[in-house]
Amino acid sequence: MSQIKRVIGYCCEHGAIGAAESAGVERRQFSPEVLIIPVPCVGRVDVLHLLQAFREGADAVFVAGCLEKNCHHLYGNIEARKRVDQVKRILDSLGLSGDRLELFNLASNQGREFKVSVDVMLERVERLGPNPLGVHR
Amino acid sequence: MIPPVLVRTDVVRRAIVLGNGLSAATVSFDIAAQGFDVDLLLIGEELVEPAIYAFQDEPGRQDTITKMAIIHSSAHIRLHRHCEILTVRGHAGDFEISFNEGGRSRCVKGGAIVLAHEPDLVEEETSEASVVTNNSLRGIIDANGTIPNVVVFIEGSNGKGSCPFQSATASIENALAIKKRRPETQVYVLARDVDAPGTFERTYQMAQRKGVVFVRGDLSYRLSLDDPGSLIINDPVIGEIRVRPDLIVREATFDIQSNSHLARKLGLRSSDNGMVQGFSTRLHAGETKREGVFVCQGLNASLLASDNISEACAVASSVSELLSRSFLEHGAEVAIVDKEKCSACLACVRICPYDAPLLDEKGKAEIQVAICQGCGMCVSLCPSKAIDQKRWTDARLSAEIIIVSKGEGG
Repeated sequence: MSQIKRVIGYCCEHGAIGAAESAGVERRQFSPEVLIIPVPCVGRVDVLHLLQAFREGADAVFVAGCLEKNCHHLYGNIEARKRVDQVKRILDSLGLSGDRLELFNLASNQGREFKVSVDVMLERVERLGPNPLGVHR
Repeated sequence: MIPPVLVRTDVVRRAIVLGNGLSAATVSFDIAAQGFDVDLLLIGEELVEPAIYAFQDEPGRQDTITKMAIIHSSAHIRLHRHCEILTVRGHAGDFEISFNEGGRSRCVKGGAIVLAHEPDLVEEETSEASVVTNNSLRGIIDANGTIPNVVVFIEGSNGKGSCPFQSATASIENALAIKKRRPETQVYVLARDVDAPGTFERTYQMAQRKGVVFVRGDLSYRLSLDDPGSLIINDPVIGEIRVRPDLIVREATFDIQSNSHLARKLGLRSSDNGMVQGFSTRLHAGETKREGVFVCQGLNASLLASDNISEACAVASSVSELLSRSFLEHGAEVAIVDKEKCSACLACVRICPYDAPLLDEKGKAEIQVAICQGCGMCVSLCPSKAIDQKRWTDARLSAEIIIVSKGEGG
């Protein structure tokens, strides 16, 4: 039984979007089930946006920002780490499992690492099963 | 999408340079040569050549020293001595620095600020005779001292731990000098990244031809356990190299305190090793996280005067580019406060990396358009949801989530 998975990635314009592009340039294919939403900085990602993604039926969400200590906006990735940890706890208490959400730190030349991160999320969805809130199936 | 509404601000067409040495002189001269007035705020009494430069016969060095002598007679450059910076206000295109000039308080305005302060060298005692800095090694070579059989240069390490940004130029010069004097000496340079700016590429090539071994990578080396005194270097390409160094050359240590103190005054953040966080020198010469504030840090504390001079020239052209505009446009992606909703909790004031939010006279937050860089951290933090961001509105992100979630397999 292979269902279409749905993984949403918030990628910061300075680091992670570049990583996704590098992955493309390096001809690394990643699944079309992964959909990317660009943000100016991962510090922009709101707790509400993360929860909304799960409410809309995303099986997993990842947030990808610049490398730590190398954030374009100085500490946006540190702020994002706090929010991601907060939402992980919320997801755990809802019974959705905090593993459905992860924060990655990528530089724009890390195409391989981007592919690895995406595969980590897909593998977790495989393990945890689809999001019970998924309404689109 | 809504087209951005931009705010125009005028540019004050003069520059403010803070500094004491070669970089400050070069920057001031080059900006003045473009026809802009410069306020040169000296930290001490006069421009002095810092003691960090150990290499005598470098291109451009003598020229710059001449410039330092005639800087008083330039019509475009105004000198201020013994300056102590008090406050820095404003934004790119319109800065205002108030400072103490030998006891009297003064104030200058400018469209751009350049921090061109060269750090002092800290001379430390090394207990081991087999460990020297690049500067003292230069002294040994110049004085025709004895050169041992195996010399290992370790980049990015000084007395106070790792210093990952330092340039390898001084080591390459020294390594080449050793090979020229005594070709049978084995020379290894362990460097994270060999930075060879400008024509320095030629020196680097010559050093390779003369047989200097460059080991690049993550600087992983360890002492051999079975053979004391020998060093195992891990090269990412050829694997393990085993050497018995007679002399280890490490980086010089700089006095980073004065530099990071000035950087803090300008609202810049410096990392643990005293380097101001900025962009790559090659891509955006001297630009920092704060728009309109530029920094010369000698291609990251190089010991070569020519590195500092060429960087200063590049910074001067960045500054001239900014000053030659008649106005600046801001506000394509800025955050805006809905004052009805604002509860003045100061969350945005605390989180902003650029100090853009202030409280207005009614006690509500207001984000200064000319300073905001559009990261959106305040937008997602605001507990009253009173802040939204142009271009990256909450409505847009929500809509994107819905569209993406409803899509069929991407």
